[in-house]
Amino acid sequence: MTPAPAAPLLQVNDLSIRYGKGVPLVEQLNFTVRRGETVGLVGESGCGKSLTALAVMGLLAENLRTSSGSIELEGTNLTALGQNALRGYRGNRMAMIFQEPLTALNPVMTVGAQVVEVLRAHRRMGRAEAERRAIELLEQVRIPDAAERFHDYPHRLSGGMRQRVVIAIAIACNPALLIADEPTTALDVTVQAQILQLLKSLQRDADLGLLLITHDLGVVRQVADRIVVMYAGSVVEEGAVDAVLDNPQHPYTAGLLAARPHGSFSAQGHRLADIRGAVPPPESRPGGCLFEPRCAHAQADCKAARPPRSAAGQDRSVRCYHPVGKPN
Amino acid sequence: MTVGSQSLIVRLLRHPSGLVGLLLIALAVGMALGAGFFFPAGPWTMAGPPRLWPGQNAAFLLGTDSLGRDLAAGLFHGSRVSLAVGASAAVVSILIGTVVGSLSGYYGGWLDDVLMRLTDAMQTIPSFLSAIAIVGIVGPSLPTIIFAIAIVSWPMIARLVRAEFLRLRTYDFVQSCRIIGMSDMRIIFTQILPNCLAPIIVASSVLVATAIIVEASLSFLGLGDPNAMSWGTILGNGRAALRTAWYMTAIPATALVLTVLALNLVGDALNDVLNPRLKERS
Amino acid sequence: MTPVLQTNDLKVHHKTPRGMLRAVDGVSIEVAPGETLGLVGESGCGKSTLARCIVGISRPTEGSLALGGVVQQGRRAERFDRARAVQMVFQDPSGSLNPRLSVGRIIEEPLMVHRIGSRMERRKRVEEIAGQVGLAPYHLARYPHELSGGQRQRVSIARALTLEPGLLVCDEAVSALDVSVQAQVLNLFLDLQQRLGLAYLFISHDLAVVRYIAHRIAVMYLGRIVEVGPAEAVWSRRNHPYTRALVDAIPDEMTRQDQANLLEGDVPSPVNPPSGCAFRTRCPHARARCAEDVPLLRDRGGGLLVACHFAEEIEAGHEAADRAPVALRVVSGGT
Repeated sequence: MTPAPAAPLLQVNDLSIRYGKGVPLVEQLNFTVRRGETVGLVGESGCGKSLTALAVMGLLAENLRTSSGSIELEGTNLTALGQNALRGYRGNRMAMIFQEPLTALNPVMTVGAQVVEVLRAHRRMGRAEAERRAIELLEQVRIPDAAERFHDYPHRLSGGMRQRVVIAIAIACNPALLIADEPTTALDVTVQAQILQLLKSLQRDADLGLLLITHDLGVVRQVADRIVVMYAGSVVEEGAVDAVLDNPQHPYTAGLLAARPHGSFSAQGHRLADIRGAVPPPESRPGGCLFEPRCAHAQADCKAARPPRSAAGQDRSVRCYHPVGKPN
Repeated sequence: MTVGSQSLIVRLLRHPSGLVGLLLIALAVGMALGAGFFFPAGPWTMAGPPRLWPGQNAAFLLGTDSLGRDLAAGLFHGSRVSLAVGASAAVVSILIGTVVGSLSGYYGGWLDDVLMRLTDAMQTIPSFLSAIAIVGIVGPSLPTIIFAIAIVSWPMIARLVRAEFLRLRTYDFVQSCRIIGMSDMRIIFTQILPNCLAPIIVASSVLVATAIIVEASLSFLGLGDPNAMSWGTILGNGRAALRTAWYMTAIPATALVLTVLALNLVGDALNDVLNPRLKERS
Repeated sequence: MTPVLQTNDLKVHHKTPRGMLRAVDGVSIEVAPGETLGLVGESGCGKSTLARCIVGISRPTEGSLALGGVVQQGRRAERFDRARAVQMVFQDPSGSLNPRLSVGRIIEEPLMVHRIGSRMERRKRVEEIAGQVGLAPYHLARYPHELSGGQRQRVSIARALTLEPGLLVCDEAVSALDVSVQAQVLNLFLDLQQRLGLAYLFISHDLAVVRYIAHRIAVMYLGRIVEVGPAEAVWSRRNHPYTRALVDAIPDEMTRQDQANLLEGDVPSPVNPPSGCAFRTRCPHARARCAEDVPLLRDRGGGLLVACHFAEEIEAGHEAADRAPVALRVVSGGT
């Protein structure tokens, strides 16, 4: 499927993020994003997926820091760079799309001016040229009548259109890596489908590496090539989307899949398989396997220590002593 | 979010400006409470020789004024008047402001229009001039002065409370109270009002400070209650001797400045302590 | 049996600076005791306004609303009695609980307002209800911010149940929850229905959730019901092109190709809705007639009511597509 394994676009090695000197919020995170590949980073709220995205972008709040590990973009270790050097990468080599398009845009600037601003900040471009390029970009994200919308303020646009503008800003400088943090969660389902389709085609055309952060396994199934499942600040399973979702090895992944509403209760009478309890906050995470307190398959050894990352087939790993599902 | 009154004091004391402010206010309150004990003769007695500079005579630590009245006694007894006027004016304006603001914010519509136009009208009147006018017409007495200050300061509270009500009334927990059949008055007083106490408390510290200044200004101009010795009265009396005996104005002025400063410090500290989220964001 | 909820041509219009906003524009629905009616639609379709109108937060402009057979006049004094007929569970589990009150007090409040029982009796009842929704006694002394999202939603449900209403309006009640917690709460809703014979008006933008929990589904678009019927009939027959688009837009149901039937554009403004059929501006099947006649709900057999002039044709189209081999479906999907 994948061509010769070139150096990955983004490589996150053993990354931990801490709040001051306290407990880690994210621990020993490993994943890669290759050029032209969409990686779905999934997990429930509080699992650290947005934090990971901010860490990659170098946008962590001041009281948070990456305490160990590295984040390599095209071979450069970003964690070793200062804020000034990072600024050269942000918006240029890597860009981010946020959940809420309304707050991501400046309400007192026209959308066109905001695209132009990004272009002129990173590229030596004259005003006229930047405006021409901005309209092209708005057309590229399929905004109808782009030349007219150029002069509109964000509040005049619908949620879907705003998210398209945010995407246009993100791809303005041809980044190599695009991070989308819940890009469709605030949108209606029919609009969500449009935006996902747009992201997918942009990614394919520009050979982008796309890191798609979402809580929705359906979204991942639809657009991602590989999936990274996070739970309580740690990766529990990763692999090709179809392989993981058709045959989950980690009980958490399996539980998430079973918990989604499917079919009809009134017709079929089946109950949803819920996962008991709730995600533990960082300060009360268990010492052994993170999922052990909620796991139906937990055994004595699960309490003892964190399970290591073990290979489970080609390009696939799982952190579990007693994987479920068919062996690969 | 939920702040017990106990922990509120403790947290205020941990806050540097809160600590300084509270200590100064405690001092002023202590002076007011101890005035009768330390100076049983009252502030009006001509106890010694006139124009005694501070430190000249051990019996009159802060000196005496041109009529030979003990300035220390005036300062102690004056703190009673200043603090009492400040606190009562604040309480009255909070009462009016809260009622107007909550009705306006909760019900909206024509009631809001009427009440807010009234508030606007009150705010366009220069507050100090109207206080002078009220005192001038009704005559100088402490209740009149309190009323005159309160009547010009409630609009600020009303606007504040209205804004809070506008925000809170859209919250689902307020809607939920309507759905369980709770009456409007009960919703206003038991559900919404407790949730907007924090900004009211913060504003009230500034309100007390303003009221103290207005009272002092009135007294300084000779429009104060003639039977009550306040810091403003001492200031006014000292004015004539400003060149020769500046201590007569400097001493009450310092007391005034420190008290107002203390109230503002406490207000700042309250703001930080009661709105921890605000601090995180900045 | 008397329906717990019956609306007849209910309208809620608001004046706005840009014109009359027809948030709810002639909705007639019925919910039988013990039944779940799912209401789906995108944001701005009026589903939340309808919910607020049913529980009495906003007043209908026109039309009638009956709860358990009692017609509501929209008077302020009705609030007290209405509370025992209908209660509501909100979307945001943090905004729907008063942050300054303990969980026990929050659940007890409806009983206090209605002066039910002595203090001891009320406390016993609160513990009982808390147990029913899966809260432990020690949770009652906690404050909302000390609980997780799922637990807060349980508190909301417990509070709504204390007055033993026949109908619970759930407005996006599981939308803010994580998948694993969402499953817990959905299971709780089903348990409570079986045990207490509750009826639900279950409002959500998520058709998969609604299909799972509802007996019947109503699809709403720009203030009107465009399709209503038994859940499985609505889901599989998809007579209305909008229902079809909603089903197609669920990521799970989509193929991984880019060819799925995506709708163009956004929901038009309810201040200035399109003439005739409100959906025609986004509808792949729209024709001249759609701009002129407002389609009314028509009986399509099997309890399915559809407001579309070309429902027959569209249903026949699905059947042809379902019979066709996969390769052909990809081609026909572009229409």
